[in-house]
Amino acid sequence: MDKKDEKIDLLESKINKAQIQNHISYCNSAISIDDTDPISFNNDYEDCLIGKRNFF
Amino acid sequence: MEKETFFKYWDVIFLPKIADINKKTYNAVYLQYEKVELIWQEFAKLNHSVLKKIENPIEHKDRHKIAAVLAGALLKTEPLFYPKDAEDPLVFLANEILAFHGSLGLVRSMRIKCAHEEKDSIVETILKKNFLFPPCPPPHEDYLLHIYKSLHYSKINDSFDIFLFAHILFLIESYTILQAKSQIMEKIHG
Repeated sequence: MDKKDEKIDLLESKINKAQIQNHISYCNSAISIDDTDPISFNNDYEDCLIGKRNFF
Repeated sequence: MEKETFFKYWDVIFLPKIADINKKTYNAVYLQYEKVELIWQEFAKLNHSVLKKIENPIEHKDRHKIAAVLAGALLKTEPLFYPKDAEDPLVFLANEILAFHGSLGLVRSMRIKCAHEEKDSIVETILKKNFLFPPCPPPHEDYLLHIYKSLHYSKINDSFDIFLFAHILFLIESYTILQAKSQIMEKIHG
């Protein structure tokens, strides 16, 4: 098995496992928000507004 | 969420975003510092009255509702001041952008932590990059524009729905993970 196949197998098994456990879009870990460190998060989402004046 | 946690999020996610909006609008928007404490108070009030009513209040697990409560508190408090006659949407939607960005940032931080705990390196890597949104082909407007508009209208109509917005955050997170996984698979299969 070459490296590419190994990667595919690993990914597929992870995805299958996630689907079976219903983790694919939800997290079952009992983590309190107070135990979580905020991760800096910047983006340019509002770029979709540039040039769009009086759009209401 | 404890007060200390709220201020940690405020410093790491909200303040840089405000600075970013200011930069893009040539300082047309500014933060009313005295309102930051009010956001926390509003959050605590909403959190108590809304989350305690849930039949199965597993608060520490439900990042989407916590994030939605925070967005609601921010929309109500409107910490960013701007000229009322502003025509630039980046200016007059500044509070909505901040509410959306902040709630997503909170969901992201928690989800990355969960993925780390579950040793789910794929989800961890996906969310460390960015969120993905469903495409809205022309002539429809950008997906984010719809979000900003609905937040704006819910603000002026005093009709922000915490549960509905929590669901939007959940769907954005789900869409991002599924879409990114599909892209990874496509890449691997070439």
